[in-house]
Amino acid sequence: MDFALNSDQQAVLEAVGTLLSRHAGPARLQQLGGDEPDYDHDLEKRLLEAGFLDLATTRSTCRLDAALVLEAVSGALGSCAAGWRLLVAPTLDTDLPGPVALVPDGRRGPVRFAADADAIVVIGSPVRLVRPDRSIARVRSRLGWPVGEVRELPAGGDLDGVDPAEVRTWARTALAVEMVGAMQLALDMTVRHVSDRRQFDRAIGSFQAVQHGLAECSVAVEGARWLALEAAFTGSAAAAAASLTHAVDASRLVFGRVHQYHGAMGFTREYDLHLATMRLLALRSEAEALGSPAAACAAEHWTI
Amino acid sequence: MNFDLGPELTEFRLEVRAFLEDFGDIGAFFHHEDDYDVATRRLYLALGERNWLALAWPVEVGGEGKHPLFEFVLWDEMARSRAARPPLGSGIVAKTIIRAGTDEQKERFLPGLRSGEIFFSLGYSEPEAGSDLAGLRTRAVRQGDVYLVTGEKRWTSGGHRADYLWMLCRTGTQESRGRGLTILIVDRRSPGITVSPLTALSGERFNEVFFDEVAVPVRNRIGTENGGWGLIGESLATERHVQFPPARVRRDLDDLVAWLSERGLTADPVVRHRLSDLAVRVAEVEALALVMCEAVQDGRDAAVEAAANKLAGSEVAQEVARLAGDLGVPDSVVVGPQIEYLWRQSISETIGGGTSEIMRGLIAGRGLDLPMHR
Repeated sequence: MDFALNSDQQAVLEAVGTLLSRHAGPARLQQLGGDEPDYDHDLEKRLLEAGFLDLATTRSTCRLDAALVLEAVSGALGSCAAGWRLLVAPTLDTDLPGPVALVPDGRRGPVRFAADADAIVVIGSPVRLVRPDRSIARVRSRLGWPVGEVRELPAGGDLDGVDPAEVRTWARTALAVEMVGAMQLALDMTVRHVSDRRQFDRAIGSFQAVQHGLAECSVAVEGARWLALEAAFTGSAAAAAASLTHAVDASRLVFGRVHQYHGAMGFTREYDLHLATMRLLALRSEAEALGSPAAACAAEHWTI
Repeated sequence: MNFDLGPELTEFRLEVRAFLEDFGDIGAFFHHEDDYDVATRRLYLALGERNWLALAWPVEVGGEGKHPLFEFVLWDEMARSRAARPPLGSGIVAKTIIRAGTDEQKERFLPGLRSGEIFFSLGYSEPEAGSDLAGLRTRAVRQGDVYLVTGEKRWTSGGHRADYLWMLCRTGTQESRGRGLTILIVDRRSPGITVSPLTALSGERFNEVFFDEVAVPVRNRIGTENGGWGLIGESLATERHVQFPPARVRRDLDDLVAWLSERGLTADPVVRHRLSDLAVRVAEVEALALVMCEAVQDGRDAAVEAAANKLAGSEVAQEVARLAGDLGVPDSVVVGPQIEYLWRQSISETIGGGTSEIMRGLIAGRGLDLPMHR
C-alpha cells in the first residue's frame, strides 16, 4: 500500500496542471458561456495532442493514472468529454477521436455532450455505436456543461465483444472521479472565502459552526476521492458502485454547505462558485441514469 | 390548548383566497423581472384598494387596526398562490414611520404606501456588512439641512425600480457600531446614485447601489441621529410573522408531488418514502409557524419562535426543491419546469433575511440561554 504519487504520476499531473491552468479554469468556462457553455474543442485537442487523454489505451491497462488526470480536468472545469476518453474508451478498444456522449439504453432527455458528439455510445445489451444525424438540439440548462436533448436515436451498430456491465462500471467510476474534482474545487473556493471574509471583527471561518461544517465536507470529499481512485485502480464493479454512491451523497452535503458559507455572493451568476456546484447536479442525474448506484452497490455485495 | 386560528381569521383566509383567484401564479413571488412591473403593481394596487396593505396599522393613520395575525394569513395565502411577498414599504417602513416618524413624514409617505403606489427598497446590507450589519460603512455627514451620503449598498432587491431606498447609514464613528447608525429615506432618483445589477442564479435581479455625496434632506431622517439600530430592531419584531409563510413549502411540496405524479414516479417505494419524509417536515414547518403565531397573538417577543420558523421553513424549502434532482429525474435539470427553478431559487432562502447560522445562534443564545462566545 502506498498512497503517495509516484514520480511518473507527479510529472504527469504537473504537466497537465500547467496545461489546464492556461487553457481551462473558471475564466475559460465563463468565456465559453458560463453555466451554458460550448464544448471546448480547443482544450480537448490540446489534451489529446499532449497524450494526456490516452494514458490507458487497452482494457488491461491500469486506469489509475487516467483517473488522476480526469480529476484534474474536472477540477479545472474542462468542458469536454474527458471522462469518456480517459476511463471508458479503453474498454471498447475502438478509436473514436472526437467528442463522444454516453447514453444508457432507453434514456431520453438531457445528456451531456450529446449535441456536440460525433458518436454516441449506447450502453445496452449489446453496446451500440450511433452516429447521430446532426439533429440533436442543445438544451437550456444551468449545469455548466454543454447538454443535448436525446430523443429517438438511430439504431447504430453493435459493438461485438463489449461487455455492457464493464462499460457501466467505468462510466460510474468516471462520474465519481469527476464529482470529486468539482467538489474539491467548490470546497477550495469556500475555504478561501471563509478565510478572507470578515464579519463581527473576525474571519467567518473562525466560527466553529463553519469549521465543523467544512471539516465534514472535507472528510466526505476525501472519502469520495479514495473510493474513486480505488475503483479506477481495481476496475471492480463493486468499488465503482460504492464510490459513485458515496460521491453522490457527498455532493449533496457539499452543495448545501459551500453555498451556505458563501452567503449571497455564492448565488450570483457573476461569481464562479455555481460553475462547480451546478455541475454536480448534472453528474448526479447521470449517475442515476446509469441505474441507481446504491442499488448497484447492494447487488454487487449481496445476492438477495 | 387549541390549534385553530379562530373563525375570524379562517373567514379572512377564505376571503383572501377568493381575491387571489384573479392573481395567482404571476411569478412575482419569486421576483421574475418580466412579470414584475405590470402584474405586481396591479396586485399591490388591488391590495391597496381593499386597504389590505394596512391591515395591522392603527386606525388613526388609515389602517384597519387588525391583529398582526391577519397579516400572517394574508401573506401565507399570497405565498400559497405564489402571488407576491410582503412589500417592504407597508411593513417595516410604514410601521417604523408610524412609531417614530414626524407628522409631516406620516402625511408624506403613509398614503402612498397604503395604496400600493410607492415602492421602497431596503438599503441595509453592504459588501462588508451582511450578517454583521452593525459594521456597515455607508456614511451620512450632516451639512446644514442635508446629509451627504457616500458609500455602497449591495443585495438591494428591487433597487433599480424602487421610488425610495430605506437606508441605514453610519453617522457615528466606525467603532460605535450599532450606536452610530441612522435611518434615512433616500429618493432613488437623487443625483449621485448609480445602480448596477447583480444576477442571482434564480434570475432575480439584485443591485449594487453606489452613493457619491448624495444629498438627503434632514427631514427624511427617521427618528434621531444615531438612533437607527433600536428602530430597525423594533421594526424586525413587527414583521417576524410574515417573514417565512409556511404555505410556501406546502405549495412547493404539492407542486413536486403533482410533477412526479405526472411522470409516473409516485408509485416507486423509494420515491414514496422520500416524499413522506418531506410531508412530515412540511407539517413540522406548519406547526412551528403556529407556535410563532401564538406568541405574536399573545403579544410576546416571538424572536426565538420566528427564528425557528424561518430556519425550518427555509431548510425544508431546499429539501423539497432538491428531491427531483436527487432522484435523477431527467428534466429536473433542464430550464423550464418550475421544479428546476425552485432548485436554483431555494439556494438563497437560507441566506437572505438572516442566514440559518444567525437563526441557530439566536435560538441557542436567546432560546436555550447558552453563553455567548465573542
